[in-house]
Amino acid sequence: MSEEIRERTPRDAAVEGHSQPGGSGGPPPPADSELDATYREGLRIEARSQWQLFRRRFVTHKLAMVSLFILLIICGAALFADRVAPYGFEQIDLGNRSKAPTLEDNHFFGTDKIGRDYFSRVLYGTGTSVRVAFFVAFLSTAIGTVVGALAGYYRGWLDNVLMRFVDFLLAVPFLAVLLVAAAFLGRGSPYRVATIIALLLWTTIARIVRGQYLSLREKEFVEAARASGASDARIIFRHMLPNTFSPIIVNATLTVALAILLEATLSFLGFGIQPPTPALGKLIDDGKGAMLTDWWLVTMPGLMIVTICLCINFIGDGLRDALDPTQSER
Amino acid sequence: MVTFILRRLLFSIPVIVLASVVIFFGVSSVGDPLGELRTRPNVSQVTLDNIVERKALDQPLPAQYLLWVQEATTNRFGTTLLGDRPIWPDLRRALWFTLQLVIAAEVLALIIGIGLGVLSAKRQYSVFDYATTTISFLGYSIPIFWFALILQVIFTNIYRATGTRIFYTAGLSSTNPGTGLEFFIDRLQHLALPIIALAYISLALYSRYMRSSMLEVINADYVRTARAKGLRETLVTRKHAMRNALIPIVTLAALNFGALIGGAIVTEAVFSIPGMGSYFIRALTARDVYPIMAFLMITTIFIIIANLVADILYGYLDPRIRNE
Amino acid sequence: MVEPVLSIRNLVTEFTTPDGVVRAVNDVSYDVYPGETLGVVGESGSGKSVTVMSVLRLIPQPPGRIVSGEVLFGGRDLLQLSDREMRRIRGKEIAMIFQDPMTSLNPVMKVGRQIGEALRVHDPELDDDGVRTRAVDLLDQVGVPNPSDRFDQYPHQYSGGMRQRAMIAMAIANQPKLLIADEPTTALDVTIQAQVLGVLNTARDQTQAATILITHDLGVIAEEADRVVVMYGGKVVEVGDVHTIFNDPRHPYTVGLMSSLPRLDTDLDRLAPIGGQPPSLINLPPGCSFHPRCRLMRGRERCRTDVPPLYDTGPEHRAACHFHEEVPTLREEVEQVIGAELTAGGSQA
Repeated sequence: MSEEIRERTPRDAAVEGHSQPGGSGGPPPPADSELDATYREGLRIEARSQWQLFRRRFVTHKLAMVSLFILLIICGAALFADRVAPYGFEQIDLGNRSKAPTLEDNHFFGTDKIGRDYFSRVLYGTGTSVRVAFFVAFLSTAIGTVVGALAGYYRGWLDNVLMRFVDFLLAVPFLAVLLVAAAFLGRGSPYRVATIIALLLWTTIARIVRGQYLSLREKEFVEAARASGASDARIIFRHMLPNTFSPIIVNATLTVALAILLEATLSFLGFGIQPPTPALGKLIDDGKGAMLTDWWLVTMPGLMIVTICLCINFIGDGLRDALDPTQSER
Repeated sequence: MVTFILRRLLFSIPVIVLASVVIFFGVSSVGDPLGELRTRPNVSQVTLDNIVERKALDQPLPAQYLLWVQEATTNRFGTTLLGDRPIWPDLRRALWFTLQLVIAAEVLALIIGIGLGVLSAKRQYSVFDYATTTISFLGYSIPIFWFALILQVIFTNIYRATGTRIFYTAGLSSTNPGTGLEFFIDRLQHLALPIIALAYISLALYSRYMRSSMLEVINADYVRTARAKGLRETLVTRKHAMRNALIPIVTLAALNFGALIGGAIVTEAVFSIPGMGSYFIRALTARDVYPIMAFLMITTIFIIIANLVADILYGYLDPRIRNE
Repeated sequence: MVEPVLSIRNLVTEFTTPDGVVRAVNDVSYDVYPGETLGVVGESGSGKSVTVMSVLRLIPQPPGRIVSGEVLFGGRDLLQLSDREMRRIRGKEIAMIFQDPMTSLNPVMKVGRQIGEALRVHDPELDDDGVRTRAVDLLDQVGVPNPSDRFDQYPHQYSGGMRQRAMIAMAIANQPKLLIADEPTTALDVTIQAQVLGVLNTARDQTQAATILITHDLGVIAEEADRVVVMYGGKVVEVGDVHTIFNDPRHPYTVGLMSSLPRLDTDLDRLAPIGGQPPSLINLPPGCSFHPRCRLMRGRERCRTDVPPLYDTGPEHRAACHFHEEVPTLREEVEQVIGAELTAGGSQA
């Protein structure tokens, strides 16, 4: 399956007639040694593992590679903001208020109206967003995968119930429900907000995984596993799950971007992460009053969000191409 | 076909009922309706007791639910928690404005999105295609609220620079909008930016999916057959390719409706449009459960209607599913 | 000398892929005479389908490209016609039947309408009633029961065989002079295959059209074809009438094909497949494209350096092999070798 050129297997020989006793069942070797050589040359086998094939395909996707690079730098800087940022998040400097972006004093993104360095603030905010987003992606993927796997594998009433539930969740106005939950439940801790977001985002993955399991369960290796006595749990997780990795990974990646956007929207509207925890949406909300004069207050955090999401989307695209090149056009 | 529609209609009713149950119990359980009020020092116990009595808050939840349903259907969602203000008049006005916004945005997004998608598919790998792809990717990456703010900045600066208002950056209408055509144009100028902000992301989605759908279809065997019969390329595209390619877009548009409503909430907030979104935010800020529930119920009904329309359209476009 | 209905001359069609330029059709020439059935046989990738798609100019323009050659039909070179003129020929003078009727019919359009479309494109004066009458009549001709009801049905309501019949109806709607059937039975069950071939015969008889029958199934060729063209690696390697090709093939590839075919008239228990793989159309082997797999080559340099033209090997029989005279003995050898194997293996010869 993962080999580039298949060698004749005993099965092929069986199809063509009975195999020679003592031989591997190849075609009658031509008496001509010249033919022998060319024949073998045509059959040179290069076995490459799945991983190598994937890596090769991904690396050629230049946009994805560049995005990955940029994303790693941003995430690295954001997650270690306390070491990278030139100033503290709340460091007030009334002598330097409302400065436009400049190179002096390392105020790359300028300062806000009480003199706090904006680059640092954006960096800290990004850190929060990144943490929340990855948490959301992880949690929603975990839930979605389990639900989807169970629904797809067992089918019947379990599938029906779960899928009706999923359909139903999709019928409600998404952001509205999120806002209600966040307003009442999500005060303060970013991880609370993250959990709430995750509890609404798992449905897409569940759908996809279910679809995969539905088609996989008809495949022979599942029958073989069952015949050799494997338990359901083992089949679901050790045998079928590895075959669903690619859509799961692609979707998880895109979920990160979605989570960032949702978290930013929540904090912009005032219902998400609350101060003093830094949040990009909140920065934009605070800055919008002065956006006509101090344009960097709104522009910088926004650009950061856009950049991160663009990178993630390109990476997701590259992943999709690399993991499943047989899929129809992106 | 008619039975198909009827069946779908019938099926929606239990969904609406189920939604009402979930909404009610969901909202009631996330917080004490009076929680916010209790924290305010100037609200007296007497006021609180009155509210409890008015809204039967001392009854068990299922009873409250039935009361709520009764209020909702016979008394137009009843009144708010605080201030006992009738919900429906405010909600209805807000609903009307939001509908203008959302429907205009959806139609715009569909027309442009589908158009771009079809053209990108026909000119795959061209500059046009790459440009559209870039627009789509940006669409997935730009937060609506930020895009809305940027639009405001741009057009305010245009006004400041030139003195003419192309589009308004806030509000629904000017103070003296006139009548008839004048009024319509004034409204359009006010709603233009919110519509653009709202439509952009949906547009990106539709054009992407349409492109990919068209590409699948354009290489399909039956398109080849149509060409082999001697049809003009435009006819091939219109009658054979598009009809098949549009099918998944219909479902997508319906599913996207929920996202549109979310987008409307944000857009209305930024552009100060007194629509459902603003109504909802206000209710949410006040933690007033009744308007919140009314909002959720109305929007859910609209989403269900949108899905219904999509199902019917799907059945019309794809005869294969009519018989199931 | 009868004039051919279609004359393909030195056709070259290429595809540009990320891995390189694929020469799917590499200087192909053959003629089709009025009323005959020309069988075109070859493996996947031999160029047999791309050739006829090039004739109808249905090759997607990127990445494909008809590089050079002539396709003479009705006194004109089809490759030089404008798009408009070409469209008048498609579906009317030359009609095509495709391999998989399930995917070749528009799933969301009624079958009758699709047949009607074929009629309407070439006769815009036709009104709805006229279209319906003629389409129902065509469905009847191809043996679809209850044609009037079937007219209003969708492809998914038809069986596989019926769909192919509908495709044939669509093809003969305008009495074409040339019918091209590209693997018409490959996607069908064996019993249905026979039926569909029967319908094809009827269609042919009624329209008196010349037919190009493309298939990789030698059994179908033996049944239906008058003459045969054998293709390999984008080239024609042998041409002749069907009896000659089967009884006296003069190209090692054809010999290989015949030997891979189970036959009732010999004592062989084993089949002798052709070793190796079809050639890469991006990096064709130099000289004769078949030489890496050829038993007849025997190390002779000529096969590697000179591209063999189609040599005359008999009346109306040509083969592209430098050593075509040695081919008959090759056949005996192959059968002997197999016989020897069998003896060595202890089975009956």
